[in-house]
Amino acid sequence: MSVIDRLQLALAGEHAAIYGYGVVGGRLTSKSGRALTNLNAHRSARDQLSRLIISKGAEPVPADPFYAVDISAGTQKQLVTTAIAIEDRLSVLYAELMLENDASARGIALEQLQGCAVRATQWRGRAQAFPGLRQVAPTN
Amino acid sequence: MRPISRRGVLSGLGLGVALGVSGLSLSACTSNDSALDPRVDEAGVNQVFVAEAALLAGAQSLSNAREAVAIHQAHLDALLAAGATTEVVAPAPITSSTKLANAQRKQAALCARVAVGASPRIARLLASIAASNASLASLEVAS
Repeated sequence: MSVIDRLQLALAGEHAAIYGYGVVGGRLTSKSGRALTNLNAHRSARDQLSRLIISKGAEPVPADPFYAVDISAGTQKQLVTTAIAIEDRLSVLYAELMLENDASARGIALEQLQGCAVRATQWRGRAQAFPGLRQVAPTN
Repeated sequence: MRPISRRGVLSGLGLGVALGVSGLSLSACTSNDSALDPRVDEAGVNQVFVAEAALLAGAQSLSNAREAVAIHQAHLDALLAAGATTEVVAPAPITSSTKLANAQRKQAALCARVAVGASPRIARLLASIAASNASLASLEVAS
């Protein structure tokens, strides 16, 4: 996988996050301000990624017209869980972007991975040891 | 404050291996790593390891930082699995949660600096540890 491929994956993830926060933020009765702040952070990340992709001679992937966001239960708890899932999934994409030996891509990955992890922590109320890394339980 | 022992740090070594970090040797790298000097990785990982040990000791000295203790311990385990070789001498205590949060922010910045020039797997691990430390620091601000 090339650095452009990974940047495009992250950009596609940001498109989905922006859509997801639109759905979640509009339904949260409390903490909707946080959702709006996070939405703007993801818009900024989208623009940052798009500029880098263009600077590397590629065309940024466009957003899809629709993304499946499960809010069937309609509870506030489910909305928060969805927001956490958005941040966690993006964290993985940014962590994997670090596998590329490209300083500009790594710069964005470092900044955005921290952003995703902090936002997920705010929603959860607790931090994780390895945001963005797929973890399994230690073997005995 | 409890001194940091390598035995303590090694508890849970399996986690670091499970994360996809080359468990025993920095030489087990992908072709992407071949252009990088493993000594750079080792020096950077050791630098992060020493700072992380100080954070663990600091968190242990605070009564309300149980979650941070577990997370910093996990970071140390993963850094050892990634090839950290530095012996840790008992670091200075941290006397408040605000000072711990400041130290976690500095650790996030250090991890990020080292990650930029590291080999891919080490870079990914350090980026994750940076994000984790930034998250821990943000909890202190929120509380």
